[in-house]
Amino acid sequence: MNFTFSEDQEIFRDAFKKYLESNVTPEKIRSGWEDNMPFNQARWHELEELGILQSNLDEKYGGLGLDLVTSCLLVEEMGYYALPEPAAEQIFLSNLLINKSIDIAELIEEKNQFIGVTHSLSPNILFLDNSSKQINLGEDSISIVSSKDINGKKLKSSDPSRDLTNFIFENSDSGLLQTLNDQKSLVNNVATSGMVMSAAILVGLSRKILDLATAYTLDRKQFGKPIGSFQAVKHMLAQAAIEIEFSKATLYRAAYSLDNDNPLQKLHAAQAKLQAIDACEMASRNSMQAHGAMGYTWEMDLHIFIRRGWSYKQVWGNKSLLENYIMNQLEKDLPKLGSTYTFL
Amino acid sequence: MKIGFSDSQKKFRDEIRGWLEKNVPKIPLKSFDTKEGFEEHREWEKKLNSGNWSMVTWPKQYGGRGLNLIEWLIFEEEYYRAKAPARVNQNGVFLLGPTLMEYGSDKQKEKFLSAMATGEHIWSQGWSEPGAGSDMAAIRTTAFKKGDKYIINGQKTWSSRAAFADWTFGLFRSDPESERHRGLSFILVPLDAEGVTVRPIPQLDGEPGFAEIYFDDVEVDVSNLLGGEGKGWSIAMATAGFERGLMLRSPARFQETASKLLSLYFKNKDNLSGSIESKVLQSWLRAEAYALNIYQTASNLMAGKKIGPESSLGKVFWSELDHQMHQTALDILGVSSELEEVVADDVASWIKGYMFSYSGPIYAGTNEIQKNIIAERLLGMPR
Repeated sequence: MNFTFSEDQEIFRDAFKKYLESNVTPEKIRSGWEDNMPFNQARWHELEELGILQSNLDEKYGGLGLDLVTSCLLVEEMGYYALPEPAAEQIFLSNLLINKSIDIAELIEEKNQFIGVTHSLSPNILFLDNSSKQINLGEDSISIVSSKDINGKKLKSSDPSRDLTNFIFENSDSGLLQTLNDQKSLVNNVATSGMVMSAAILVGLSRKILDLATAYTLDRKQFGKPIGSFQAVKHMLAQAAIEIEFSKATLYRAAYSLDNDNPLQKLHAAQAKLQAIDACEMASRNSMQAHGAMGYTWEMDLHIFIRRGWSYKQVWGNKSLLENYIMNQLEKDLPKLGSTYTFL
Repeated sequence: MKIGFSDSQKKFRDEIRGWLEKNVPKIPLKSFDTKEGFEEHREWEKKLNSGNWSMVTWPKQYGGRGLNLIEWLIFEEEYYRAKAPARVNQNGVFLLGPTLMEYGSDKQKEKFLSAMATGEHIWSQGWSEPGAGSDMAAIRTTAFKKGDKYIINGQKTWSSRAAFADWTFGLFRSDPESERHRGLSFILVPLDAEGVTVRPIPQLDGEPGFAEIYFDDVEVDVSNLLGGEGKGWSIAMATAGFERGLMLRSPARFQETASKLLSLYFKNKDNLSGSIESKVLQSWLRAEAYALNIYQTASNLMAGKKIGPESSLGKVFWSELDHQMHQTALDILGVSSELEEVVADDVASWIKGYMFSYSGPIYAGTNEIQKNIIAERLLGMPR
């Protein structure tokens, strides 16, 4: 049992954090929003050059072949800085599909390009114009589609960083390159991976949202002192810190289980996502409150992060779906509950 | 990162499981907050010690097994799984023991540690006073040095286990000129000393789990001073750290409660509403989240990292969780939940646990104090 990160994992994460700190600022995110182009092609190339996009891609495809715990740490930082580009999706969805299916790997020649992945848990395509190919996951089939032949309807998300397109197959083979059947286990695997990915984003967002609030309460003065010196404000933010703390280890265990193909990986992922949802809700609500009326403005950066949470709470497993899944699972496994089974 | 138990850890689990299966009393002991139950639990401590299972985390030189934190968590899991008796000497084993090892003289270690291990000395805590609760630095009970004695005068209160315990440890004002956290000393006091009066205080369940201790010119040998004179505050902070942290509240007890709650829920599910279901589910999730967090913390500590104010995060988390779990169980039991003697569905233990769960957010530093610590020391908010 060694539940710690390796030095390499921390170094990689910290280096990436440094990059994000100067290259993914609220100003830059806002400028993407204003131009209606949240996907920044130049930044995508930088992420490729840094090895982020290929971090978990198998070495035989030119990737770094790193494990998903490392990926999880990277994605948590993508959440922290509200990176608009779907690098998290590339890592946890399309890279995973390429790594696990030789058929898909052969069809996706340019593995550094964004590949949109759809599933009933996340049915809309992100950044259609930036992808050459799409992978659509059915219940037990996977179809690979050429994006240029897809026509869809643009949808406006409450998070302007998400450029969404809804497409309906006009006929079943528009743009279709290939359909793979009997893929139930791979589809489930990707859905689980999506849960871990979205949980990691939420944990990162929650940390950022709390940091913004603590900084604001040090700065803002009322009654002649920083509002952060008032207990009512302290306790709100302390409560958020507690929720965030207790979402982390659950998340890392879920990433580890996914990486090691643990038979309980879906349960672990669902736990991680639910804890992350709780953390993000608490952090968002209390941090907004700590900002007072300023928090409710477009001008303050807080909402850039809060609205991202609204989306990632719902895609790749929402509360209702996850709770039902876990409850059914627990009823089945009742004899195997208790502390001695935590790490089976 | 490697999450999972090694072969030697599994072997250790089997070993403790085997011992507990053979030795845990088949009939539960009486509550340790009754005279008779207290002595039964003292016997159990002796029994644990005879198998060398009483002080598992203590270094071998002090009669322990020198277990690392992961092994300790395994031990706790098996202990709760076996429904073994509660630890009447937890003030000694988990709080004073580690403090003595860090700050005590060789003589003190020799005198107190083995007596603690065998259950010969059962310890109570002497922190709070009528005027010093959350504001512990307001302590007024004095221990002035006179020759080779300290003369103690004043009053301690909320002293856990003091009704039947043999000794107490706590903070006393040794410098008459001092104020607040300066001039306090950490002193060990035998409760049978002349001038000591213990007045038990019945708790919510009617049993005297804590007591007031009156000191009237009590003479204590200077060799009972722990650490230096006037150094009491920082030693006490270290002790409080052990308490809030993972030494006192290992995850196993909460996970066992959560499993019990799930069983109760599934048994009665057809008659229960959705809000109960979501609380049951949340209880399980949070008990697991606590366990995972503690395993990660234990791994980090073993890798040489330190934990400080972080332990306040866990204290708030487990105490609120414990209350929620018991509250939910009572909501499931409904009209039978008030019947203190009903054995079916474990009603008696749910209602008793429910009462106790009200104390979690209060003892070992109230949750409000913990949140101040989190805000000021972890988040950097101003005092």
